[in-house]
Amino acid sequence: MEPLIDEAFLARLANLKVIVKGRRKGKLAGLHPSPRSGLSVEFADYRDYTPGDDFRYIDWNIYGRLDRVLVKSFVHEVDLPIYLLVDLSSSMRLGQPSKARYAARLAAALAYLGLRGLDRVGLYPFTDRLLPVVLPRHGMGQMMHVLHALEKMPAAGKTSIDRALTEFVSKSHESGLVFLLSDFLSDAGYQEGLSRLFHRGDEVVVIQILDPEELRPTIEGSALLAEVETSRKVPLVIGRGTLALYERRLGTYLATLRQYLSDHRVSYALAPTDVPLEVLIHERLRQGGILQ
Amino acid sequence: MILENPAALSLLALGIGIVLLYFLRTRRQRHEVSALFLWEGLPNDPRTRAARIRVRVDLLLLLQLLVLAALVAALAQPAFRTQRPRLASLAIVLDGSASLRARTQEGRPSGELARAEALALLDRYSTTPVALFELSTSPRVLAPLSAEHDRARRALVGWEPTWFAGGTAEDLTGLLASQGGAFERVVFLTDHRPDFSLPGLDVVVFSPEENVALTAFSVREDPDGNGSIAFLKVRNDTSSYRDLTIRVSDGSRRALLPVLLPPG
Repeated sequence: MEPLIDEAFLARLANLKVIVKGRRKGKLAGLHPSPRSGLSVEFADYRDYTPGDDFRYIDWNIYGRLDRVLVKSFVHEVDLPIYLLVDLSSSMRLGQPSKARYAARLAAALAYLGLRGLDRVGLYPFTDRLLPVVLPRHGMGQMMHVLHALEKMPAAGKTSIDRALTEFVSKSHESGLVFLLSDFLSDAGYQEGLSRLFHRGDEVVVIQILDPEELRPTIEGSALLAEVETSRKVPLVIGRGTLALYERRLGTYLATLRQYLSDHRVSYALAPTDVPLEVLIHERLRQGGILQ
Repeated sequence: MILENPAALSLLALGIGIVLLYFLRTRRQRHEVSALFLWEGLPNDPRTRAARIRVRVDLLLLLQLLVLAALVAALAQPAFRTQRPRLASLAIVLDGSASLRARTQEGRPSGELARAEALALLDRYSTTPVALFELSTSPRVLAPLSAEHDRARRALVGWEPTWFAGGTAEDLTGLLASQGGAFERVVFLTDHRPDFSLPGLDVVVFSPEENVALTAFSVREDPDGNGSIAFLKVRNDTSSYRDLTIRVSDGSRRALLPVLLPPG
């Protein structure tokens, strides 16, 4: 089987980094600006001197001109917990390559970018519940834990994004940047789970991974459609008319999802598995303002 | 064409079963999909259904019906019955001249060819009354006119050409007259085209191009008392010169005579 990630691929990720739209209250020093002032080289603002401030930060030029003692404050750069939520339900095993495999490779790439940006990266695979997680940690040593976890997890079980995200919020106490990798092909709903993330203050990026056969099906004739996550089956005689109706219905579903995410300022990217991962990362995710 | 086992045709009724099964059988291909909610409630495509039926009829159904038809045809044992040729009467005349003792290039005597052709005629006209004759300077009836061919066959088995010359038209007419004379067909089996013709006479000539024969032979004592003198006549009926060696032997003495025979 093709390795999840290789050195050549990592080398091509060298100039990329994850975009964080807002300022976040991280715990440890990092590369993301914090709402708090700090000790970086990037100037943030002036404030009045208060006893106890370090004399080194008094702007003597201002004092000379305005006769006011002001202290320069600097941007406090903090790290950011990056949560990789990867859907590993049965439906993700469809396709060639499977959506799960594609999601795993993408998650590996995002983990690498996060760890290289001095962020803490954690892996949270899920179906209708959270599977064993890799807690967020710093350092490239974490990469091995993430890769190992991604390699060994099979796609099986039902999807419930609502339940999985609810469980995720309850188990991870710190808000951060949440990459949600899923096919979102479930009629069980996703709004409740996502709203919990919004409420906690997570910055959410949704990457919807779909097989080309799901976007433009080529099934024709008499078919017995079987849902992989349940035992439900639907017999159907499929022709061009049926496929056109399906694509219209899928288009409406995707538009509703995108509209919902847009309303909540959630970044979204569609990732068909026939699009090479490099193209997805270097073109689509950059154009979507998710990476830079 | 007739059918030896026409009852097998009833098996064609299985074709109706095949056709019914074909259309009743549900042969849906199973496809796994991520979510059924996008498919549920979609209407069946009527045009696809019609097209599917057409494709199935065109390919698989026709093939199955063809296989059934072939099986039934084999079981029904179709056969062609042909009427054997029948004549009112047939005269087979074997040329009994010595030239039929000559061998063809393949080494078979022409007389043997004449005998084989006569036997073939007996097979072909198995129900026709046949008379068998030998025509030479001493013509004779080998088998009288009869619908039973056993005697004619027996006569053919032991028949050998004579050492005489060929017969004449009068000899043949006399032979035929001895068996009633009114034969519907007369077949003359010879190694050369005869110099006479009769109405209704079919002449079958064997290897005329390869016919080299001893047509006359006699021996007498040498008046000088030096043994015997042989007189012989050899005829080359081929279209080319033939280089032969004639061997004459009385059992204890032997003479070899090389001759170059011109054609004709």
